[in-house]
Amino acid sequence: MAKINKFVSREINLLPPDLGPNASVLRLLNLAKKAAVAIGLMFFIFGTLFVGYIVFLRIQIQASVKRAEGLKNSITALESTEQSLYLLKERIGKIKSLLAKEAQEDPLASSSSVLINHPGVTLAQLTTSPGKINISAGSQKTGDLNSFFEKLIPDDNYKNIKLTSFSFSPETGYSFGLEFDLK
Amino acid sequence: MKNIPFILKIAVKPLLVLTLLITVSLVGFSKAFSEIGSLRQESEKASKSENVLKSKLDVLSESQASVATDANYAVSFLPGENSALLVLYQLRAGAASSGLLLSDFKVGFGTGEAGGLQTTSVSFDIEGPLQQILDFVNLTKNIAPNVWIAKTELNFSGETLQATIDMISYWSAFPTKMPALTEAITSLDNSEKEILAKISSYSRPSFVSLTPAAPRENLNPFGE
Repeated sequence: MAKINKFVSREINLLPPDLGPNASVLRLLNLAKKAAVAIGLMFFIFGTLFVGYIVFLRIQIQASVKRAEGLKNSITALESTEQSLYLLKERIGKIKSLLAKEAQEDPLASSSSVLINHPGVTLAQLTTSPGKINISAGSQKTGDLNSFFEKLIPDDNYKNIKLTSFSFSPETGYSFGLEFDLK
Repeated sequence: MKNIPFILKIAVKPLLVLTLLITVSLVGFSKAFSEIGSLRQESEKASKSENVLKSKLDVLSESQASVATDANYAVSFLPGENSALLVLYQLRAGAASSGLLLSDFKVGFGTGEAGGLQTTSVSFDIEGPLQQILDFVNLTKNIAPNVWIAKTELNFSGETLQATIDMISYWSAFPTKMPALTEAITSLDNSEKEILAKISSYSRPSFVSLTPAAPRENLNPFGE
C-alpha cells in the first residue's frame, strides 16, 4: 500500500518541453527562492538576538530601578542628616561670600601706632570708618609734635596721611587733625 | 486566471514571499532598533540615577556623625533669624569679661543685600581704659554671630575714654525647600572645611534651658 502511495504522490511534468519557462527565468526564480531563505534565516537570527538584547535591557533596568528604590529608602532614613548637610553647605556658601566681602582690615587694629605711646601728644578724638582713620590731637611742645610725626612716617599701614587742620594758641599749644588712608 | 502567462503564475509566489520577508524584516528591525535605543537611554538614566543615589548615600553615611554639630557652628555664625539679640548677648558677655561697661545700645534693621543676606546694625557706647577697649574690640572678631566694625569714635578725656562703636551683623533666612531626593549632594570641599574650622573656633552664645517644674500642691494657699 505504501509503495502505491509513493507512486501516486510523485509529480510528473507532462507538458511539452517547448511550453516550459526558459532557463534564465528559472535561474532568477531559483535565486529569488534562495534570497528569501537567506533573508528569512537572517530575520530569524537577528530577530532572536534583538529580542534577547531587549529582554536583557529590560531586566537590567528593572534591577537598577529596584536597587535605586532600596537606596532611596536608605536615604530617606537619613533625612535629618541630609537636611543638616544641605543647611551646612548653604550656610558655608553664604559665609564664604560674607568673608570675601568683609575681608578688609579693621581700622581700629591699624590705628595702634597712633593710639599708643606718644609722650607729650594728647589725643582728643579718634574716629575710624572702613579704610580711614581721623584723629584730632594736641601738644604743648614742638619737639613732641616732631617725634609724633617721625614715628608715623615709617608706619606701613597707611597709604596716605593728610593734615586736615593745624592751629596754635598760647594757652592750649598746638592742635591738629590728621586723616589716614589705610592700605 | 487562464489569461495570465505561465511565467507569471510560477514567479508570483516566490516574489511575493521575498517582498513580504523584506518588508517584515525592514519594519521589524527598525522597530527593534528604536526600542533598543530607547531602552538603552532608559538604562543609562536608571544607572546614572542609581550612581547618584549611591554616592549620596555614601556622603550622608560619612558625614552622619559630625554634620549636626557642624551645622550648629554654621548657624551660630550666620543665624537664620535677626541676630541682634545674640549679638547683644555676646557683646555684654565680652564686655563683662573685659571689665567694661556697655551702655546706650541701639539696634537697627538694614535692608536685604545680594545673596539673601540681611543686615542688623548694633551701636553702643563703651567706657574704660584704652587697652581694655582694644582687647574687647579684638574679642569681638572671634564671636558668633558674625559682627563687623563699621565705625568707631573714641573720645579721650582723662584716664578713661568713651568709645561709640557701630557694628554690622549679617543673618540670612533658612532655605525653605529641600532639593529632590534624586539630586546629588557633595561633601564639604577643602575651602569649605577651612571656613568651618575657622568659625567653629569662635565663641558661641550659651543658653540655659530651664525645664518647667511639675505642678505641686500648695498646702497653705492663704498663709504668709
